[in-house]
Amino acid sequence: MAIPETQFRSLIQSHQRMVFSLALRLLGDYETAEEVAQDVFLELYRSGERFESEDHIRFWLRRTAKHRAIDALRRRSKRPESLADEWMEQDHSPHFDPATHVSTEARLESLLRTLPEGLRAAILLRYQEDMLPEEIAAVLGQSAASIKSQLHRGLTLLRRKAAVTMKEYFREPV
Amino acid sequence: MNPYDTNPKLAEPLSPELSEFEHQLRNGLRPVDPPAGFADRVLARARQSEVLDNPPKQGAAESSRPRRFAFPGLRSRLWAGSAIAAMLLAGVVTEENHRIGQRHKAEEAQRQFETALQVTDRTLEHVREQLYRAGVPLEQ
Repeated sequence: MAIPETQFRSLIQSHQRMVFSLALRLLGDYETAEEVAQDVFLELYRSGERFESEDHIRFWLRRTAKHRAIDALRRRSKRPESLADEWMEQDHSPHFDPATHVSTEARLESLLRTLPEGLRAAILLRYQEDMLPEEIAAVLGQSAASIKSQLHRGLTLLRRKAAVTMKEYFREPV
Repeated sequence: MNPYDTNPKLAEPLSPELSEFEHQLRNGLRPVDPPAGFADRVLARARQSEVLDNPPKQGAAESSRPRRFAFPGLRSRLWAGSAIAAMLLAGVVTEENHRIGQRHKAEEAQRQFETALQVTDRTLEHVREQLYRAGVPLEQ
């Protein structure tokens, strides 16, 4: 192996949640998300790139995960919204609400998947990965100003959708 | 925590509703674990691709030998160099063949010219002999 097996396993274990969650939320499909996440780690394994730090690896993984997930979306050429219903039927979150049979988190995720790819990626990196707009701009190859604008637009759009579809949780903005 | 609170220069301030929603969103988008055995499956694929990319060589001594092409790009550069050399060689051989062909043609033309001269000489000699026998004076 290009990277010693123990080191590679430790790398996977440190970053698998991040890579898998990004792929899952961009794709909305559990199986494809695992496939994409595996591909990302294999790409890292084969890349032969010299990583200077843990931050460098994280940056590389986030960027590659985003690119590969978008590639998979385009290959599938299926609107992610169509998988939202399927997702709603499953319980992937520990916060399961027996009253509605669908957790708030799962419903927020399904709403997220109705956003355009660009907005969705920016929102995910901001709120799942807790990245600053400047860091997101570096990963997505855009300007920080554009990312800030996308974040604001995405958040407003999601908030409006949540106010309509999740009235029990969110008040409609005035 | 509102991320923009820590650094107000990051973006325009959010309304209270959006700040609250942001908080909900952050809670909702916590990273999730991949299916159990994920790391093992990646490692298995890596091992498999390793075997496919580099099939095991015969004999342990062979595998312990240092790689011939240790520098990235060296192999492709060698291939490119060989291809250029082969093309140049083919060009030189073609040019030489052409030159030999031309020389053969010139020699053949020379031979035909000499044969024609000999035939003409013989014919003239024969005519001269006939005239001499007929008593026609010939100027020298």
